[in-house]
Amino acid sequence: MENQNFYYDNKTVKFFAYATLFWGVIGMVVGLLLALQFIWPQLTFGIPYTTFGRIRPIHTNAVIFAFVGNGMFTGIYYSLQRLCKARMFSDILSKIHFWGWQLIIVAAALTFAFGFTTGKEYAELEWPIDILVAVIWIVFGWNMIGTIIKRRTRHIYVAIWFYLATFVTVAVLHVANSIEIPVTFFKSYIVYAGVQDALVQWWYGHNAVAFFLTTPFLGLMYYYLPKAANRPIYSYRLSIVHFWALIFLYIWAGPHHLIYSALPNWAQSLGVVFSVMLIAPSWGGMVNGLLTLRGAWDKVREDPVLKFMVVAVTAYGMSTFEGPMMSTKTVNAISHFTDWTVGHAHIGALGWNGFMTFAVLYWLIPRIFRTNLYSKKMANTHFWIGTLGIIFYAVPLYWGAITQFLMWKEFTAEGFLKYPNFLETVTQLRPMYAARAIGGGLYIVGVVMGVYNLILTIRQGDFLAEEAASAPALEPVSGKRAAGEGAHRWLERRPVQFTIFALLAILIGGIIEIVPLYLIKTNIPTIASVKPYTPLELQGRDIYVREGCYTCHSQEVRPFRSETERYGQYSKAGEYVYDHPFQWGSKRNGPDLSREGVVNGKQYKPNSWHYNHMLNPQKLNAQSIMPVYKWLIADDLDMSTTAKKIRVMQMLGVPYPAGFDKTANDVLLQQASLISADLKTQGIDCAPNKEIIAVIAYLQRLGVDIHSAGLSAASASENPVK
Amino acid sequence: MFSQVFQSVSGINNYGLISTVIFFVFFTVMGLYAFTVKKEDLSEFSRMPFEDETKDSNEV
Repeated sequence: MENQNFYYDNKTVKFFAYATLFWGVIGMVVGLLLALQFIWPQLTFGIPYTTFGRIRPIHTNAVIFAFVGNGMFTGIYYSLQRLCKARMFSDILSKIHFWGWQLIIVAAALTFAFGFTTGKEYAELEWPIDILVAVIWIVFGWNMIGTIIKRRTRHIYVAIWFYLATFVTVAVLHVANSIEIPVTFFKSYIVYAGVQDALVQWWYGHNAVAFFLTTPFLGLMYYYLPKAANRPIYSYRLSIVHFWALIFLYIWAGPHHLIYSALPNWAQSLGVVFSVMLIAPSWGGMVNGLLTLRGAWDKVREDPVLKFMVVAVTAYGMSTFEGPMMSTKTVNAISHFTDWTVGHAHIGALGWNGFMTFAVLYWLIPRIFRTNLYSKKMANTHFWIGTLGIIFYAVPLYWGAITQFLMWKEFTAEGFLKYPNFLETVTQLRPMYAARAIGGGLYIVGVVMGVYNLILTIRQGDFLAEEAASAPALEPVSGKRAAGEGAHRWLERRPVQFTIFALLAILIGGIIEIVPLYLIKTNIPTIASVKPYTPLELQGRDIYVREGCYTCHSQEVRPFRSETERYGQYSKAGEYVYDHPFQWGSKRNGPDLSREGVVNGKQYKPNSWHYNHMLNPQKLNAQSIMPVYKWLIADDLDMSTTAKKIRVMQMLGVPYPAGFDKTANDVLLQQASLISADLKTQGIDCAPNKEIIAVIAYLQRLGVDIHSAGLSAASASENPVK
Repeated sequence: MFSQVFQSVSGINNYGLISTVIFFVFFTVMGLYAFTVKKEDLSEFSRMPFEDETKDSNEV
């Protein structure tokens, strides 16, 4: 066939690279602010927009979807064109993808700061932005699959398999986990409730790690590591098994986030079994990456790109060993809700994603700017500071986690909790939190050096926007299988069919796990005493979600004696049936709140305590790291939404009486007046229409229905596992 | 209909076993395929990242 001349689009690659650097610094600085708030809670400056609960989603979304997301697109746009020997399918789609993604990031940052959130970790975006994400993601997939279809190579290289699996799985996860009924333009309720919501959320949450932070980066590894080492991947055979085993297994592992929860045991077991099996393909990928350097380790000594890649792949191996280990019931019993989870997540994020992103940028930017890296020495310094930063970040958190679970679970010889006050464990951890902030700070110093180095590289370079290339046109062949052609070999040249098969592989796990939870009634036993929230409690719950309280407080008591002694009865599936969304949380920076309202319970506090605590937590407990929420006391509750909220809840199956929406605000004010009057008896003058009243009403409702069911704390502690 | 069928399913706890079997069948088939691919083809595929060098790209 004749040789065809064409041009690679480097402009889109450049834009994504710039966005990666910009959002990387922003996202990490916000992370550092969060870390410092553990030491100086007053660093929220007393305003709502900088409180921990609001900026934590800004940090997580910025580093995942802005820094890593843009980094992933940088690497994909560069490698896909070259592996396909074709320009991107459409320049217009590339532009829409780039600018649309940046618009999503800006919208996310602003809405989170203003408290517009769904309250679901890593899926906090409200419905209009969710729709925008879906549209832009489809644009990305369309552009990518279009490029693969018009490629000039017969075989589709394994890196592209990972890109395709990323596209199709993230699309499925995002849509399934974002089915919401809008209340207003910035408020919606997720259609799932309680345990079902928890399962869908962590099916999404875990697979966001799998298919946003792992598979695309494995694709990048399969392209950039051989390029940087100047030798082919160690075993292409292994990469085939690695790919299919990984995408098939990963999708099942979500329930390991819900071990010892109210999720049915069979679903928990599936999560554990598949998480442990995940070690095999994950380490297959790691081994394939590291063995590619066989005979080239001398280059690692010299080349900063390879240094970053080696540590990235090693961090991937560490976190994919640690993850399955934390999924086993024995380890999870002690690690869950502690800083171990945060340490584990950051080994993956800082080591695997952060270092791989910088490896790709250090390799790619000098090439598209036709120059050498400005300073190899600075890149090496970045590497060493960053590596030290990861260690200084993770080790204190591991140490902190051990401290936490030992203190949480320690009993005196007389059989009482040795540290019944949760704050005692927090106080003990403050030096570890300070060390963690130093580690994070070091990592950011490295990143700033990297950004500076790359800016100087760009300034000295000469950008090649349109890179000339030539390749023979692909000879047309039948879409059907040729004689002697195996099914998989046929699939390797058919991108659409390949994508469909990848979709089937990921759907099997999701369907087997999630569908029975909806169809088998015995999975969610109902509890007669559990009633829908009153309008005031519902409004209070929405403020709880808005302020991101779930980022520090869990609402899930696990069936351990150490937990039932501290909080009260362990959690049951039936008590969450009206929770849209569930608010179990994943980390305890403060105590569990699910039994907060049980009068004479282990966690009960009067209305006046809650009022004063929100006004100034440090006045009640000098060592508290809780931020102030004084605007809850100043701001009026928005009652214009009550009726609409009740109607949406009715649509979702919450059994409010017909026509209740019309009287909901009267009922709300009645209950608010009672709380206001009670505060007055304590010398606190607070009008019934203030937000704080709704929050207090919600907190005082938590656990009450279960308590009224007649299941006393004593009887509930008959069944704890430990 | 599906709802009724699923409600009558007994032994849902066997899901773990069934799923593990599904995976091992899947894994075995993929493994067998991978080991039947010709070495020359694998070598050719693994060299694909190196076929993209263009006249304008230069080594750092």
